[in-house]
Amino acid sequence: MNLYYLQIINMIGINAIMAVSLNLIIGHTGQFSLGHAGFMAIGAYGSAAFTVYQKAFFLKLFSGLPPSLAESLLFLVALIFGGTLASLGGLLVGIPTLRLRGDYLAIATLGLGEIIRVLVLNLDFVGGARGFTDIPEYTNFFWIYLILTIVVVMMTRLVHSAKGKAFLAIREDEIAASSIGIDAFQYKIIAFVVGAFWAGIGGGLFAHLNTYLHTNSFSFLKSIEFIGMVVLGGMGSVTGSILAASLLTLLPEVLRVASEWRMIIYALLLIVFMILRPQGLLGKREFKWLLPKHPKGKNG
Amino acid sequence: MAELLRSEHCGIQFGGLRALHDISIRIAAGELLGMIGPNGAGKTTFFNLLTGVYRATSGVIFFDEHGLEKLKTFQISHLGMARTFQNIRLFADLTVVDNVLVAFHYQMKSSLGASVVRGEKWRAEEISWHDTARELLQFFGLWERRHELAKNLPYGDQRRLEIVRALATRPKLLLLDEPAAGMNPTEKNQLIGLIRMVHQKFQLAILLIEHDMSVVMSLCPRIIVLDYGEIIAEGTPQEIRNNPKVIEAYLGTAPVNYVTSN
Repeated sequence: MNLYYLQIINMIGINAIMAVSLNLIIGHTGQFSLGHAGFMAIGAYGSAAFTVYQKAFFLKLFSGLPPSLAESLLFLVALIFGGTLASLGGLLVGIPTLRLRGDYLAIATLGLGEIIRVLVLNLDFVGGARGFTDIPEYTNFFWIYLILTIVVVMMTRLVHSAKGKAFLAIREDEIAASSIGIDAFQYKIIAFVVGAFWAGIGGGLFAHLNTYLHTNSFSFLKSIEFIGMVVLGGMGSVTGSILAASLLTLLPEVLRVASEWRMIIYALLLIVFMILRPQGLLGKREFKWLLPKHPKGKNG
Repeated sequence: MAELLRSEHCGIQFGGLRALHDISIRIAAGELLGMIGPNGAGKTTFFNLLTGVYRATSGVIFFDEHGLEKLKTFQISHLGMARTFQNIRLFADLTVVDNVLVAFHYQMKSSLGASVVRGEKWRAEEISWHDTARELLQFFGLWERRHELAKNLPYGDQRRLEIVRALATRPKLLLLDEPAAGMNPTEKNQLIGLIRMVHQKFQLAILLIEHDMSVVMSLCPRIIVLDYGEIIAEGTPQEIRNNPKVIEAYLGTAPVNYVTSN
C-alpha cells in the first residue's frame, strides 16, 4: 500500500485510541480535562526512553529468541511501561484537581498538562529541546488496531455494566450519585487513571511510529484536538469518538487540494458540524454491534 | 421501638444567617415522621445536614449508632439513609432501568475489573440485579417504561422513579423532600397511597418534608414544625392543627381588631 495512505490510516488508529480514552474522562464521567496531550507525552517519552535505553539489555536477555520476537517483547513492555507512567501522572494530577469542578478543572488540567510538557523539554536524556531522535520504528498497523480493539472492548464493557454505570451517574448528577452511595471522587480518579493509561499507550505507539519526538507535538492544542474529536463524535459515545477521530484526521489531508485555504475550510466545516449536530455526530448513541451483549439478552 | 436517628442541638450557620438552630429530634425504626414549615424554614437544609451535604456548625447527629459528623454523603448512604430531592435529580440521560441498577452500586460484589473480564460470577450477579430491578420497577408500575430515558418520563413517574432509586439502596430511613410539590389533588392522593404502601412493604422509617399540610396530616402520626430554623411545635396532627404558633407561622398574626363590639 502507498506509504502516505498507510501513515494516515495509522494516525487515525492512534487518534481513535486517544479520543476513546479521553471519552471515558469527558464523555462518560463528565470531567472536562485539558491535559490529555500531557499524558500522551508521558507515555510517548517513557516508552521511547525504554526502548532506546533497554534495547541492548532486552536483546541479550532474550538472546534465545529470534531478534524480531525479542524486539516485539521489548516494544510491548515499553508500551506498558509508558502507559503505567502516564497513569501515575493521571493519579498525581487527578488527586488535587478532581476536587474542582467544570471550568476550574479544565484550567487546572491545562496548567498541569503544560507543566508535564515543559518538564520533558528540560530532560536531557530524552533529547531536551533538540527532540528525541533514533527511536526504533516498531509501531505498525497491527499493533495500533490490536490496541484500539482492546481499548474499545474495555471501555464499552466498563460502562455497559451495572457497576460501571456509576461513571455515567456522576456525569449526570454528582450529588444524586453520592446520595445513592457512589464515591464520586474515587470514580473520577479511576476514569483519570484508566484514561491516562491508554493515552500513554497511544503516545508510545505515536513515538515508535514517527521515530522522532518533540514536545511541540504535545502542546495543549493537541489536547483541544482530542476534545474536538470527543465532542464532535458525541460525548459519551465510543463509536462516535472513533468516527470523529477518523474524520478529523482525514479532513486536513483531503483538504490539501485547497492549499492555503485548508485550515480555514477545516475550521468552517467544524463550525457547520456543530451547528447542524450540536449533540455530536452520534449523540450518546452507539453502533449496537460494537456493544457487549447483555447477559439478560434483549428483554433485560 | 429502637431509635434510628437522633440529632442533638443541631445548628448550621451560613455566615451571619442562622439557617437551623438547636434542632433535637429522634426517629424510631419504622416510624413515619412528618416535618412541615413555611418556605425557607430550613427543612431542606436539615435534609442536607443529615445526608452530609452540609456540615453542622453545632450539635451532633447519630444514625444507627454512628456519628455522622465526619462522614461523606456516600458513606451515609452506605449506613442506610436514602433521599429524594425537592427538584428532581434523576440521571436524566440514563434509562429508567439504569437509574435503578446504578443504585445497587454499594451492594454489588463484583468489581469494576470483573465487568471488563465478564466471567461467570459477574454474569450471574448482573442477571440477579436485573431481576431485582425488575421486581422493584414492576411493583411501582414503571417496568413498561424501562428503556425510556428518565428525562422523557412524565412528572409523576419521575417522582416515583426517584423513590424507587432511593429504595434500591435498601435504606433503613428514607428522606422524602416535598414529594407532593407541583402535584394536583388527584396526584397527591395517589402519592399518599404510594408512601403508605412503601412504608408498609419496605419496613423502613420515613421522614417526610412537606410544604403541603394535607399530605403530612393524613400520613404522619407525629409531626414536627419548623419555622425560621427552629422547632416550634411537635405532636400529633390534631395537636399541630390547633397549635397557635403553627397557625401563626402559616397564616401570620391575626390583625388587631380595633372595632370593639359592645
